[in-house]
Amino acid sequence: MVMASDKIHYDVLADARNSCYKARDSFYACMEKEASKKPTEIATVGLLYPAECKQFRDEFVKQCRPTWVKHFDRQYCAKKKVQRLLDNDESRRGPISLPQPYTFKP
Amino acid sequence: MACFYGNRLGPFWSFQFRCYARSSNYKNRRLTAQPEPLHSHSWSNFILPTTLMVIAGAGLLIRYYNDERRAIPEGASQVTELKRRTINKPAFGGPFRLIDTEYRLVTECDLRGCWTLLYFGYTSSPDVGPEELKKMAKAIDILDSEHNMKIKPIFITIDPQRDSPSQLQAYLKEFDTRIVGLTGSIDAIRQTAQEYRVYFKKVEEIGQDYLVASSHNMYLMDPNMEIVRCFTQAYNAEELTEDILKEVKKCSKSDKQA
Repeated sequence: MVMASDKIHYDVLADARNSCYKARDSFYACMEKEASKKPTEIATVGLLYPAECKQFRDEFVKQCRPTWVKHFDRQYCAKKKVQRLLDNDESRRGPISLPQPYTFKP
Repeated sequence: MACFYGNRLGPFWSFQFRCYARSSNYKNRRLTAQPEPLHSHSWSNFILPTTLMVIAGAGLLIRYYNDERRAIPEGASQVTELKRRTINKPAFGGPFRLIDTEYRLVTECDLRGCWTLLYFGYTSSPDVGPEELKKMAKAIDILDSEHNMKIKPIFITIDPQRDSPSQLQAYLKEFDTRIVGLTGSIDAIRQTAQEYRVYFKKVEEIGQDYLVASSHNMYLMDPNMEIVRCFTQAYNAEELTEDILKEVKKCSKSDKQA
């Protein structure tokens, strides 16, 4: 019977968790604020963020475990996808928008 | 000759050609051949379907009578009432041998005698685990202070490789000191999870670190260690307390009746 080693992982206890959540919130708030800028830096799971938020990203990655960072990024991407679907923004619709007055556009 | 042509040109054409050929032959033969006896096998043609239908009808009748005999009659006595209560429940639960935070052995016999709220989780959960535990602690608190009902909260870890008893102790005391943390060897945990139908799997491994995907359900057990109710993530603390109260009152009322 193999028992776990008696180590206490302090980075999942309340204080570490709270600082992780704070860093995460500030990073995502920065992303919302700079939404108009072009995202150039690479986060995990296909998420991109603008270079202005780099310091928030570093803080976020420092405070939280890598698996947690990936988990939160994935959650954020899913949230953005749902928001995009519910958005009434015409510019992101497909190539054809009905009703069409004529079939072939000159 | 016509048939030969038909075969070379393909199936459709051959069909057409053959039809013509056959019709011409038929016309030729008609003048000479005898008319075929039309109703030679009609009687035996009818026997087989009727026997099949009779067998099917008999089977249906037998099943109908069996169902009537098997059905539990209405207005039954106390014994069948209790049996019906246990029959309608899902078959969760079973014996387990786990270790609590004081390195003591805990089996399901130790938990009999009072209502328990069971949660399977792990300490390295990013957001869902802490939320569920906070909910559990709040519900236990409300039940204890306002309704004077003692429900024992139990946290069983599904990550025994990283959650040692001291880790559980440090983690759980931040939520509520009443929560009992249980861990054990990976085999014991796997057996317990199987009995309680809890799904858990290591996902997202980065080096030594990983997350555990699981069904975040809370199980309410009565003093006989039988499942009464299963609560998912959708419930908040207030709804949890209400439903627990309802279940406990329902159980005590039916006990008083019996």
